[in-house]
Amino acid sequence: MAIFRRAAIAAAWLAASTAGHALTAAEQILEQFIDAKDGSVITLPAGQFEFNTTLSISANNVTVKGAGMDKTVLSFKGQNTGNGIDATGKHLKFEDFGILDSKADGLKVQNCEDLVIRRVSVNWSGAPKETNGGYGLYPVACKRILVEDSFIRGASDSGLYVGQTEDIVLRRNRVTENVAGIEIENSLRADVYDNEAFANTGGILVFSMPDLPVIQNGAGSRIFNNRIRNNNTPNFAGKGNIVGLVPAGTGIMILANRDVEVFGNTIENHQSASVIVTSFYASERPIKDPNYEAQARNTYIHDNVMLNAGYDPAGIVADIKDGAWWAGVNFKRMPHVLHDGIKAGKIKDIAELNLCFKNNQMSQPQEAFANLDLEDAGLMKALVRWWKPRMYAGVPAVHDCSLPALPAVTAVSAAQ
Amino acid sequence: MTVAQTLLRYTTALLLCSLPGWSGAALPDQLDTYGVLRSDGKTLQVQGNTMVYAMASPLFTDYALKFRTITVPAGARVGYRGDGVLDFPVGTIISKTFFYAKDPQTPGGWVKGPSPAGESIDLTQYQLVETRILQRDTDGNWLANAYVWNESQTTASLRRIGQSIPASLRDPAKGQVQSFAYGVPNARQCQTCHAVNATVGQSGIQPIGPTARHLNHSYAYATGQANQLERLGQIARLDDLPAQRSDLPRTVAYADARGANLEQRARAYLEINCAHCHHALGDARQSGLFTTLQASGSTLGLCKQHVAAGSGGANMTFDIVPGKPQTSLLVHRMEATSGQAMMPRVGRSLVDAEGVALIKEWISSLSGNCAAR
Repeated sequence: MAIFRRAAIAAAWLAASTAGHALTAAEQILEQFIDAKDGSVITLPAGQFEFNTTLSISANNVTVKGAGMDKTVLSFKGQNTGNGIDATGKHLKFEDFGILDSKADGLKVQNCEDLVIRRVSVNWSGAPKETNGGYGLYPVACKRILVEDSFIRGASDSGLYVGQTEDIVLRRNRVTENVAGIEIENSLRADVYDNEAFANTGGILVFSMPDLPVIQNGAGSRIFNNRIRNNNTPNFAGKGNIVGLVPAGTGIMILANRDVEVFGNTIENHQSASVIVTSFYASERPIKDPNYEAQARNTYIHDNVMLNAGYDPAGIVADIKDGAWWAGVNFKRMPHVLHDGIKAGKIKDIAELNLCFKNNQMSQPQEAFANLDLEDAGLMKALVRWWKPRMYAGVPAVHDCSLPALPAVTAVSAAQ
Repeated sequence: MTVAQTLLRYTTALLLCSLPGWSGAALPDQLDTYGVLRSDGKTLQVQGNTMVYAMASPLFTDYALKFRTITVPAGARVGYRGDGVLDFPVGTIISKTFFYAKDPQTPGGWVKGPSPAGESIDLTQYQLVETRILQRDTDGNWLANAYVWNESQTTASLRRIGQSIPASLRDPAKGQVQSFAYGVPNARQCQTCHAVNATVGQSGIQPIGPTARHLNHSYAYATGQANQLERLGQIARLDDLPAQRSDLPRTVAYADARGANLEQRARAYLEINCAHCHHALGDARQSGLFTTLQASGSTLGLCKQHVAAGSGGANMTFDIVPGKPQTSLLVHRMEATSGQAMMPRVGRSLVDAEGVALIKEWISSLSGNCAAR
C-alpha cells in the first residue's frame, strides 16, 4: 500500500514541477475564467469538459458563450465540493452551454448588475435526489437580471432561484424535477412569464424569509401566462430547508410576500393545491428579525385556469386534511386555493391582508377555497371545535375583490 | 536561449513593466525571483529585509504548518492601524509557506505535529508544499499567487490554475493515517477570501493576517523572544505605533485554553476561519451569517434559519441552537468533507477535529432556545 501511495505522491509532484506543460482543454477553460478581466469574452467550444474545481469570475462586461446548451457541457462530476460557476460583476452574460452534476449550485451569480442568462441548462444525472446541488441558476443580491430560454432539472432546492434581487425578468424557461421549479425570494419587482414548470414538487414559489441582510421583505411579483402542471414529485429537500415544507403537488405558493399578481396561468394536476397563500407563522419557526413582515399581503389572483387539484394531498396539507376530520370538517378533496388564515394577533380581520380573487376558471368550483385557520390547528382544539378550518364553494366574500394591476418590470433593458 | 533572445525577453519585460496598470505581465515564474525565500534543498531561509511571524489564531488548512514572512523595501514606512490591516508600502511582499513534517514511518507520508520555531525550516525534517505570495504593486493593489515546490525542495514554480495533491497524514496521538487531497488554490480563489469588498466587482484584495492584533504576540527569533510588532519596527519605520504596549489590541489564541475564556476562543476561531467571507462585505454576505468579533444574536447564527444552504441543510433548521451542537448546522458544515454542506469550501479537505470540539463546547455552553413562541 505504502509503495502505491508513494508513487501517487511522486507523480503529483512531477505534474506540479513540469511547469509549462500543455494545458488540457478543460484547464484552458479554467485559465480563461481565472484570467477574465473587464470586457473578456470566454468562448467555450463544443464538447464535454470535466472539472474538479469551481469556475469563477470577478469582473465587469464579461460574456461566457458556448456552442449550445446541449453541445457545450461543463461537467463537475469529479468535484468534491463547490458550485459549477461562481460569478460577480456588472454586465455579465452567460449563453448557450450546459452545467452538469455540480456538488453545490450550478451557476451562482452574486452582487451583480445587469445579468443575462440565456439558453443555459443545469442538470443533475440520475433520479432527483437530496444530494444533488441546491440551486440550478442562482442570481442573488443582484440588480436587473434576465433569465430566459433556459432549462433546469434535478435541483434539491430550487431550479431557478432568485434571491434578494431587484428588477427581474424570468421567461420561457423550462424547469422540471426540482423541489421548487422557480423561486423568487426576498426580491423586489419580478416578471415571471411564459415559463413551463412541470414535475417539480412545487411549480413557482414567491417567498419572503426573515434574517436576510440585503432585502428584508419581498414585494412586487407578477406571475403570468405560465404553464404549471403535474408538480407532484415527492419533496426531496432536506427538512431544514424552507422548501422542504412545500407539499408535493403544489402549483403556486406565496409565502409572506407583498404585492403579488398571479394571472393568465394554467395550473393543472396538482395533488395538494393549485395555489397556497400563507404567512410565515405557519412554518412554526421563530421570528427574531424586527424588520420582517410575516404576512402575505396584497395578493391578487385572477384570470387563471385551475384544473384538477387537491385529489391526494401530501405533506402538511395531508396532515391538515386528516386533522380537520377531528374538527368535524371532512375535506373529500382539498380545494384549489388554500390560505393559512393566521392572524397572529397582528391583524383583526383577514380582510386586512387584501387577498383577492377574480375570474379564475376552476375544474371543481364547489371546492374553490379554504381558510385553514392554522392558528388554532391541533387535535385538542379540533375536538372542542376551537379549530375551524372552512371550505368555500366559490370565493368567500372577504376575498371577492380586485387590486390595481402591478406595473411591468421596465428596468431590465435586455428584456425589452 | 541565445544572448539575443535573452536581451529581447529582458527588454520586452521592461517595456511591459513600465506600462501603467500592466503589472500582471511581469509575474515571476519562480519563487526565488522575489528575493524573500532561499532553499538549497536542505534548509529554507529568509533573505532580504524580511521578518518571520506567526498567527496566534491561524486559519485551519488541513493541518499544514505555516511559515510566514513580511518583506518591505529597506527604510520604507508601515502605517500603524489599530483596526484592520497595517498600511504596507508599495513593494511589500508577504509570503506564507505551507509545509508538513515528514513521517519517518512512511516515506512520502506526512505526520501531524506542532510548528517548528525559528527563522528557517530544516528540510530534512519537513516537506514544503506551496508558498503563497501577496505583493503590493505599484498601483497600490495587492496581487496573489501560489508557487508549488518541487519534490527536492529547491525551487517553487508559479501555479495559477491551482492543483490537487494526493497526500497522507498520520496522527500519532490517534494512530490513524488519513489520505486526502491537498488543495493549492487557483489565482481566482485567492480573491474570494482576500476581497476587500466582495459586494462590488473587482474591488481588489488585501492581506488578512497582518493586523496589529494578530501581530501583537511574541515570536522566538534567532536573537530571542520578541514582540512581532517590535520586529516589524526593525525592518520598517513603524512611526505611529502606540508607545503604551498595553494599549495595543491582541487576538486570543483559540487553541490555548489558559489564555482566554471559551467564548473568546470560539469567537477567535470563527473569525479567522469564516469571517473573511462571512461579514457584511464578504463573499457570503447574502447568507446573513456574520462571524466577525462584533456579530451577535441571529447575525452570529443564534437561532438563525439558514436560507440558501441547498443540499447542505442536512435536515437542520438553525445555524446555531444554543446548548445543542448536534442540531446546529454550523457544526455539521464544519464536519462535512464533501458536497454542498462543506464549509469552508476552499483550503480544507480534512475535518479540524480540535476546532470542531471547541465550537461544540462553546455551543453547549450557550443558553436559550429557538422555540417559535
